[in-house]
Amino acid sequence: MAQNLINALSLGSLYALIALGIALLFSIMGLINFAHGELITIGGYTLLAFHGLPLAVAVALTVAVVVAAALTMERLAFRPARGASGETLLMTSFALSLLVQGGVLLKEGADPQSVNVLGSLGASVDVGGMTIGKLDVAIIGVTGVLLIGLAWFLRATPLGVQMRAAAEDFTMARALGVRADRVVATAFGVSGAFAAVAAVFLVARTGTLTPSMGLTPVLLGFVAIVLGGLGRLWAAAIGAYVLALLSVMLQAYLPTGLAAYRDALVYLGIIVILLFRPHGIAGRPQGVRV
Amino acid sequence: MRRTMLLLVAAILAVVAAGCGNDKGTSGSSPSVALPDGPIEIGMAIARSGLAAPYDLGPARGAELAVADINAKGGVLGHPLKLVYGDTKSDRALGTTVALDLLAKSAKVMVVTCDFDLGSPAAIAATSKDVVAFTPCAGSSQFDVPTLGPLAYSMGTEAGAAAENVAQFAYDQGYRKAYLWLDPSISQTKNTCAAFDSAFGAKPDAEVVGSDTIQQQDTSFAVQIAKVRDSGADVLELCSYNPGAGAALRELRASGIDIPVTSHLAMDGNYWLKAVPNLSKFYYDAFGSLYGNDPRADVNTFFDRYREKFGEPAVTSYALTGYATIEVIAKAIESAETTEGAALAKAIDGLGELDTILGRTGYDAEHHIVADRPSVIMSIDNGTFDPVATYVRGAKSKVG
Repeated sequence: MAQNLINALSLGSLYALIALGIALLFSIMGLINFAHGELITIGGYTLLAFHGLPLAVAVALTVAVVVAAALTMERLAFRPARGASGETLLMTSFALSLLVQGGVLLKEGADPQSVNVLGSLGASVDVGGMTIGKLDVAIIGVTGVLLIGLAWFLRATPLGVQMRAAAEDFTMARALGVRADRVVATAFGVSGAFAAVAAVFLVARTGTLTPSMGLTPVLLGFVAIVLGGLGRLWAAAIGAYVLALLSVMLQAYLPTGLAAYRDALVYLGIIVILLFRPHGIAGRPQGVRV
Repeated sequence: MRRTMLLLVAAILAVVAAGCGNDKGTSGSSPSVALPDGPIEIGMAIARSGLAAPYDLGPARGAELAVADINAKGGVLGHPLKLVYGDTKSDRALGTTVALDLLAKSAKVMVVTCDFDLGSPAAIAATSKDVVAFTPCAGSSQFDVPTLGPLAYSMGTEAGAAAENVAQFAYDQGYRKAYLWLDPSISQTKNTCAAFDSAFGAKPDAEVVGSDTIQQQDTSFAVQIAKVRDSGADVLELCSYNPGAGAALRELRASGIDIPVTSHLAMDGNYWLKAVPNLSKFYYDAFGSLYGNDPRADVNTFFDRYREKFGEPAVTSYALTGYATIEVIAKAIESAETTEGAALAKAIDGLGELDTILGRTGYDAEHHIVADRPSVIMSIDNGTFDPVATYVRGAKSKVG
């Protein structure tokens, strides 16, 4: 059981990195950004391109490139559509997602590629009968630091406070002098940074890259957000950990014949949770205020 | 409104009737027609992009080498062979469209993707128009007469037969407790694990101590790894394919589990190996070794020629199957003197055991996938590939 909890914590941390990147943009501008998966893909291939450089340099460059890609997305695709309906923004993000995926396909080809990143963490240690991977420790630790860092940023810095205000009521925040461009661009930048870190850990864990590698993570991220509850950043993280826990426990305890239906049962469990808590585990009602 | 609906239904019925009429004109037991002037076109309804592209590239190039060799000797009954390509983009739905398009461009025989799930739509499209369809290397037992009819063939080794060879190899190595990892997303992996399970479990003192599923989209295999560790298994049979299989192996080795891993054809090639640095104790069955150390000289020569012609080494030994596919098609056309489906299939079934680059290969009216082909067992040790034994019909036939 304890081993499974550790596994769920590690997987949940990875999901949380992805979910928070998406949730940040959703809370501020109501954007469901499907192109977030492509930021992860860009991160993966950037890491591959810089493979061979000292690890810290390669990771720093990856973060820089993905943040730049996120800012470019915001400037070229989403800023012109700001204020448009949620459907328009969703379609924009779909189009962007396909465009970037096509670009990666064109440049890198369709064949899966393999790479050994963070190989030094490719070992495990035995602690009290449990086997804990060094990479798992790194994922849990780095995610913890990033979550605390984000909390500090949102609470203790003027830009963070402005972001929280924008997340509460974007129109009112603008009316009170919050600079929308700066706040939204910062949100995209932070979202990109989270995507880059998630990409590093994903590639380190699997060692493989494909042009569609961002698709599954982004879907899991969305599921985590819905499960945790829309409208609250921390709810997304909670949703991510619950999603991972469900997945790990079902994988661990389902009979062999049913194990192939693990994901179907995970989603069934989520439906049941949402039946009892329609706003998610930690979400708040999204009513229209009059 | 009702009138519009009636017109629409009438139009659909007319189109369906016209389609049926076309089928009638070319199917059934129509008499053999002589080969028309000009080249004999072979449609290549394969994946040139997407997930299956790495599996289809080698056989397509192998086919090109065979076509060049046959044409250099004057072609088939004086007709040169010509490959015409379409890209299914690894999409099942597109398989049908691409095959129909190639048939419209006068393809007389169809070569389809190296996988039952991805290749069968194009095969069905071709055979429904009375055209023989060949997959160079699909290993699913479904790529056979009962499922796809009498005009569909696979040059691949039936996955179950290959898995029995691997199970015997594992047993001969002294392993007695096997654990299975199954990716249930394609029928080839399901066939492989099922056959390994029954073959290994039936051997004296041997047992399958557990099994679990792994999936391509999994980002963590920690739970499955913990179960392997607790099972006390001394060998793991990996019924999956890349990129997911490589990711699972990477995490398995990183977790400190270094028991031998046996697997199947889908793990052929070294393109995934960077994900699992210094991999050792890994075994799988292949059509042959592409590293210049195959026990058969013609196989080594083939891969040298491949490198020379295409400017890069073959990625997998699947390339051999493309060559053998064209060898069989050419011989059958020579025998049937026509490309008409039923007559050509009869000729293929009647060729007997034909010497191909893959070894002796034969079909009959009931078996359209090869079950008795030798499996070359490849070993990966510290990242180096070596053929260590050859098994056929679940028994060791020779070393190396």
